[in-house]
Amino acid sequence: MANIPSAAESIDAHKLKLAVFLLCVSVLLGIQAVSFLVNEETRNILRTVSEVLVVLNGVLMIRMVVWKIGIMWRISKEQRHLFFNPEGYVVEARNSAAYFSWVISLIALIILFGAAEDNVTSLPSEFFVLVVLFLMLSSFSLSFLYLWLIDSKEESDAIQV
Amino acid sequence: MANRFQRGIRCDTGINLMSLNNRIRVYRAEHHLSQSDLAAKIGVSRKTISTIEVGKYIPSTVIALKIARYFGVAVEEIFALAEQESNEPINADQRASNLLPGI
Repeated sequence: MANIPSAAESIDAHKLKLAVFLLCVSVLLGIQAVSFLVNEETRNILRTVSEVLVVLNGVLMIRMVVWKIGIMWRISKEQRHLFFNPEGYVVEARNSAAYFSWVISLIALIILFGAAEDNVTSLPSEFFVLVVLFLMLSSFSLSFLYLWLIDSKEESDAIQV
Repeated sequence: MANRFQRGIRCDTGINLMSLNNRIRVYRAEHHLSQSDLAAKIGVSRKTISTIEVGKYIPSTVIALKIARYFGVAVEEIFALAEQESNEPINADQRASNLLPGI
């Protein structure tokens, strides 16, 4: 019989997929922010890359939603509450990553607000929004993936009976 | 016995720094369970069991109780503060003095 993952394993895997998806979205936002700082020729290249990324992100999101619906059908009604009230290391890693992301975003906002006050830049407000969103999503997803990966190394060293 | 709890997590109790050690590996070995088996039995992922074992994650009270219940022992048999080197039973007077250090 195939080894079917438990509800808890599936929910952890879902969080990992979500982090990867957010990382892809942050890359897209980062590229769009950078396009404000480059010349017209490079901007056209970045626009093409952005369009490809939009399609890829769309596919990723659809796959993630379909996968989650599949899990919801597979697990019992009693286990579905785990999606909303889960316990375990991954939840703590997610919370730590969210806190780290919140701090990074706050610092970025303070710095950008200071720059806007001093009229250092004449860039449009859209640029600042993109930069903050990029920092928010990338810091969250990267720190979450880091916490996930450093643990995976430990897992492989763990004793299996 | 020197130290039956091999690994621990540094945690600030508000009084002094202590470590939380555990004996999950020992109990798993005794019950011939893999990390995945134990995780499935108590409704968490293997990563959670793994990180508890290696001391990266301090489990919630609920998870600690579920693990203890599964093995049919008291929580103190599996988890202990590093200061408490042995897991000998603590009598009522010792418990009271631990809870109320000023009295």
